Amino acid sequence: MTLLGGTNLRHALADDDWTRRLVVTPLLDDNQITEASIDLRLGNDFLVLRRSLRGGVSLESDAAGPAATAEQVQAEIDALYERMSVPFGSGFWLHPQQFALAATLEFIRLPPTLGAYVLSRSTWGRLGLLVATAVTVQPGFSGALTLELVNESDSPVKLYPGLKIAQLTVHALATYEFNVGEAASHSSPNEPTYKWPTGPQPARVTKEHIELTRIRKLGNALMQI
Amino acid sequence: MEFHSFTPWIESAGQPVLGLGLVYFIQTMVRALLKHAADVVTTASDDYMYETNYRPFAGPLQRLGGTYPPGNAPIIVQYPRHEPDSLFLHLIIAHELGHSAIFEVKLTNNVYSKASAGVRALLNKAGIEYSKIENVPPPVAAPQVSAIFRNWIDELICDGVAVGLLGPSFLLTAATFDPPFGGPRPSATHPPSSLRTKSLLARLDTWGWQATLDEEFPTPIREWILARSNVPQEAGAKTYFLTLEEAIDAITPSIEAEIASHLGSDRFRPELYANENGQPAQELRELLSQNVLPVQQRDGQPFDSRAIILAGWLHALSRTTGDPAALVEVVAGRDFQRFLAKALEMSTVVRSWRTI
Repeated sequence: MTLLGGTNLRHALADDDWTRRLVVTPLLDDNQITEASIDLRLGNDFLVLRRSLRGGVSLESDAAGPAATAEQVQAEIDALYERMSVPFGSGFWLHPQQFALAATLEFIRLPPTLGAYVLSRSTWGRLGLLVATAVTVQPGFSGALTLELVNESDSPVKLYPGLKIAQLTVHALATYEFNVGEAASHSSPNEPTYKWPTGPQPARVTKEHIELTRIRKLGNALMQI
Repeated sequence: MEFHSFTPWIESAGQPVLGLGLVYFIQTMVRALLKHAADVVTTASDDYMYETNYRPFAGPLQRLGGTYPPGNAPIIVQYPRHEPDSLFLHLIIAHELGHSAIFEVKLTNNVYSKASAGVRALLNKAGIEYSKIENVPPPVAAPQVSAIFRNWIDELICDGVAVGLLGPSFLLTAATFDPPFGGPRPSATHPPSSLRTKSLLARLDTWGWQATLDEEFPTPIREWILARSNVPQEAGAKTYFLTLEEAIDAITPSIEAEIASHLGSDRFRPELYANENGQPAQELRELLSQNVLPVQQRDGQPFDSRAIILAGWLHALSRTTGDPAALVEVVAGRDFQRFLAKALEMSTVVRSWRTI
């Protein structure tokens, strides 16, 4: 497998051939396409596991016992989640050790020739936020990516839908023809947030703060529709 | 209406029950029809009904000597509780919002005030028939016939603004509602559905959608809709309804002109769906056939929400036999409608993002 760089990502996004076209939509900003990944934004919907009278999460049914059907077990698992929708401009507090499911704002479609990994962005990682544990995105996947959010820090973290929270690295399978040497010719419009680190760096949230200002404006604009 | 029936509105005010895509779309329709923003509150109704209520409590407030608070007035949009994801059925909200527009802008008054001598003669004739058939004196009959006529104009204007705003998608939605809720029998509040269907077809033809109907609607559905528009109304002994239909035919140019004037640039024009190169319809068809969320065009521009809905309707129908029963089959397909609603949401987000 070969990691796709920015130019090849753009080629894949613009490919006329559906057996090769990569879809990431909406792409609100062109600079979401970076040197070797695509930044993904946090969507509006969250699923939070709530406390229940069950002993815990189990693949056996509490109510129906060992004879339970898969559908019954699934229904009990589904009932553990509380769904909430957070509009743009508002935030979702993720407390220490809290787990929540979210999704990317973007709809992703991988052609059969590409695979991908969804990874945390370092800014959030350094604040203690884990974004994804099931990171592999199989060729042919279609849909918004589910993110498994965990706050590993000791401080609550407020998450705003629309912020760039994860990144997608895309890999060509052996059959994908890519442009060799594209990295040398490609100059990125993005200045890396963490340049030449020589030791552990604290989270730098300046870009995120600027982005949040825009997202709040988006929230206001949507209120005015 | 009892007080407890208001409480779901209040509970819904803070958190929309519908998906954001539908909420944004309803907000867009409200602005297009009222010509100003309103505080849209979507709320689920326990009854199988769609209804809008603009400036609720205005009457009681006025009677108490109060005035409405400044700012965007609320508009309550009710939809059937068990149909939260039925995007295609929710298009009927455009018709309901038309009633609010009529209340706000007095569209029916404008049409009625332009009634020609010929229309007035037909109303006089209907009044005489009504007087005999309903056994009321002519001075009583005249305002009652006039009220029926205005009610019919109300409904036809609401249908007209809905089809003007949404294009052929609204015809498909109206056709879906027709068998269970419509019918050839007229009433004092609603014209026969055949007249309504005929009017929808006429508006679409005037506004340039005939080619879309001819080329993209499944033939059995198109022919079925056409046949239903030609069913004579079942007025029975109440012949004044037949005379009223003649009066409606005579005043139709005024109705059409009033709707076009009111919608202005908010009318969904065919070129927004398919320009001379067939775009963006062709691109929408391609994305839908690939099961890709249709949000952005190749150049990054967001698709028009109405184009997404129309392409979605036609795509869903293309996967059926194309018989009239397929309309119900399509509106029962909740997953696809949720998918389309997400596309509406995201295209709205892209559009708003570009304005900030």
